[in-house]
Amino acid sequence: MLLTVENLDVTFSTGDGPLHAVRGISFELDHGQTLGVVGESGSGKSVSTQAMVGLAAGAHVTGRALLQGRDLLTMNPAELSAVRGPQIGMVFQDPLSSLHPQFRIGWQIAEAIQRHERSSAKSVRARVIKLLDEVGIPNPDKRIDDYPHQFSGGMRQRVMIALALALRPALLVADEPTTALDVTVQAQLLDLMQDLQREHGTAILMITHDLGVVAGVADNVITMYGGRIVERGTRAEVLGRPHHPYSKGLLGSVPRGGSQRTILQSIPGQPMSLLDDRPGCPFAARCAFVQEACLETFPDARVISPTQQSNCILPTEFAGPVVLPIIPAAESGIAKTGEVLARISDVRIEFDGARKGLLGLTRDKIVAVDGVSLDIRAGETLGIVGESGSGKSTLARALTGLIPLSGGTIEFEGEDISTFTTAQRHSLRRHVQMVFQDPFGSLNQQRRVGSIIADPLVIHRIADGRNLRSRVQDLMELVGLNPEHYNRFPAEFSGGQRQRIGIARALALEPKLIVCDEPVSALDVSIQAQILNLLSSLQRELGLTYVFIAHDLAVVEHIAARVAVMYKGKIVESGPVEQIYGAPAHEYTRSLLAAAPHLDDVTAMVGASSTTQIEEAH
Amino acid sequence: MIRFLSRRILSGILTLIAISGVMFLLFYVAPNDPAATIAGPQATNDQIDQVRARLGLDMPVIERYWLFITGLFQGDLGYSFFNKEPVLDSLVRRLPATASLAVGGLVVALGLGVTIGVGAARKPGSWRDKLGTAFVLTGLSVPTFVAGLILLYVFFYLLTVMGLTFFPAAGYVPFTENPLEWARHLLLPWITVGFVAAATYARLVRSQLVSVMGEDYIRTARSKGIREDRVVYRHGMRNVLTPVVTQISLDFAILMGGLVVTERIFGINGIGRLAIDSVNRGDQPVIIGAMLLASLFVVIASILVDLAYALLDSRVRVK
Repeated sequence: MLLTVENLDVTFSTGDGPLHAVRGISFELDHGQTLGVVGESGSGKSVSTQAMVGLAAGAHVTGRALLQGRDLLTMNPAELSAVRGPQIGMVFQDPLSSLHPQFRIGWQIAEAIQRHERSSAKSVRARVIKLLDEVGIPNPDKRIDDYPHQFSGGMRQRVMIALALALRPALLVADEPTTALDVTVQAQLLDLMQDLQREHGTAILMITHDLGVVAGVADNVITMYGGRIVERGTRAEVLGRPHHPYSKGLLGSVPRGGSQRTILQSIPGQPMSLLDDRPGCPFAARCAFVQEACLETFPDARVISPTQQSNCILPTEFAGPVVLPIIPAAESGIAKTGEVLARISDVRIEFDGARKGLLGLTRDKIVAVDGVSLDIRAGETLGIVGESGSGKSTLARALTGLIPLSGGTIEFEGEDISTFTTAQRHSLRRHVQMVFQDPFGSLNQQRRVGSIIADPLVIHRIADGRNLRSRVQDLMELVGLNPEHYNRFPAEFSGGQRQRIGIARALALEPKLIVCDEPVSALDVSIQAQILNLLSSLQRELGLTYVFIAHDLAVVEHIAARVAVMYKGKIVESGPVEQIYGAPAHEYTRSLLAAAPHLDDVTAMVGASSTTQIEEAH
Repeated sequence: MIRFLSRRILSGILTLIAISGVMFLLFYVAPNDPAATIAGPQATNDQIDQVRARLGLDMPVIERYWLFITGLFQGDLGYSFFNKEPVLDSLVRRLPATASLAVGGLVVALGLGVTIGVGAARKPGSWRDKLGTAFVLTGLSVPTFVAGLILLYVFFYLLTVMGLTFFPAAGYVPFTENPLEWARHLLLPWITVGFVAAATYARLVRSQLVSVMGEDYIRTARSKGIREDRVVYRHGMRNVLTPVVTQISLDFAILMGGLVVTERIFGINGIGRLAIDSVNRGDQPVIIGAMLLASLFVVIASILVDLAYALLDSRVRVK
């Protein structure tokens, strides 16, 4: 066995008392295998591996972590640093911040080699060029002298992989390696890692929140929650016939192919606080099957199959595939679409680029949106998918009148908004609102939630005084927030709750059109499902029209009726969801769909034979 | 790069001309009359008028300014009202002492500040960190003249009383004459100038390094197995250099204020002392000359800092 972890326990002391991040976990990983570790933020999945290799500063770590027979946890810092690199390589989430901005990439890789091996500068350089070539960097002999900012996100992550594998470690720890990247890039990188794994027999510890990634690459899977491993098994077992309610909840939260008429099984509540040191099962507070015994002790592992174990008191028969309930056709808002609400005709948006020439008088033009035409019909959800840089967010902002057009027109209810005066644009905002991606950055931390939501009402002089407060509290209730939290600050809310605040603010003026720019991409999957369900039910109740922008194809398929695919500022294809996803006509759409990780393939592997379903869960 | 440099130099020259203009205006509106001061308390009005005419102070201020500016471009800063020495000569003669003091003080400030800042940042909350904070607070609250007098009292007076004369009380020995004596005379002044500025650098380095050490690329360096010292000094400090360089340029004017006081305390006949003496005597040409020289150093420092940015930051350098 390459890696044997026994009873690993990690505690941090904080101002609020001890933070028990990892609570006695044990697992094994053999040569050439991939172990997927899934869980949401705060589950302890990243902390456990970083603590193991001595990278978690201030952590109190107990237990054993045997790497090829040597216990990492008893090593002194010097011994540990000799292990990092030659025996354990690491790839992290954000390839931009993970490479030093001021050093050439070749230097950064060479530094790792020279730290652990004696060799001449010339031979190291040759080795680095070979490594860069191996991970698919074109012209490696030239690019070796470039700085990280001269590479795209995907290329930077390739450099990180080259760096991690430079000394051919037996173990590669990949901590959310593809999370920040586009789907096609993600697919390429996962392929690359698997190729290198086959070639060198590297074991991979793949830490991710993305079940699709796990479905694609893992041999075995462990599910973590609240610092504990709650379920373990082969990939087919955990994803196809999960037993633990948390594993089931995660799977029920993820939109899949053909999930359009389904209700996502979001897990109620918020992820637990690690400061909360109650005994019993950490998931008990959110579990639909909670029993008295769950609150007292953490259940022992229940053996589901020779390879599958679940720490849950539910009977073995509970293991089974996750099937999403289907919305009755009558309730589905998909079919109803009215007249054209907004019309985008031949829109072109340019930005000034870098200054050119000796005097800097001329500038490059960057074309963000290049001749886009679209109709948005009242009551529908139009999805816009595309990778980063495709121009989808720019188009969204133009739609709300936040960015001037360089060409073309945008009509809202028959009027051209590009010719609007300031006053007209002001009143346009009553009808067109936006929900932003980052629920942390888009709310002012210094203002109370009540006044954030009230802003639109005050600005447009719709309500004041006591009337205002009751309107705001109604809105908070509508989006599932506790109206008593009116006077709290954004920092007191979780990511999902903050996104609800953003939605309440957008709803305040009862707009006709809401432009949602990546509203769920920053959220954990169980919370993502809550927000998607909220958006769907609000649409049914209030008759809203959505333009829903996302890079996640499955999310768009789940929520949208029509889809437009954007690529390099142009719409390459648009039409009903069934048509685009079922029979994509454009090559780019096909490559996007092929690259998207597929959970369905794995769940189908074992799911077909089982009869147990979780409809009773709700 | 050449376009950038020429633009900066041109704007620097304009800044200097503007400063000289403002100074002329100040002297024009100032109530004291240098002619009366020079002529002495017993002088008659006639004598004062004579002195005024001799110094050229009877000309309109615009004309005097024009003469000054045309002289400036020929390298002529005028003559001292008192000893008739060309201003430029007396500045140049005193420059080595002041420059030795300034550069040495800066080295002390950086050396002390960076060492203390790094020590504190490597273990936030440790006793070293707390000691560093105490140093910063002391440095920021003790004025230069107090620090200088304490040093003088301890290292000169007390040691001399005990019969150990390591440090001279005052004076300056040119480097070219005797390097060892040069350093011996300047050591206490260097510490005096550097001590206050060191506190600023210690605080700056600590706060910057603490935040840099939390960056993802530091974790990457550690994940490569790089030893901690190298992680701190090579990877961490690399990104602290830019704010430190910025601080140096901002500090330059403050540093010169410290020089004036320090030269006075340690009896070094430098530009700072010349400036004070000429202010006391109302020796306008010398005051203007000293001020312009100080402004020139600030302008040069800011140009050098901009060049340093380009060297330090790969994102500025590589387009």
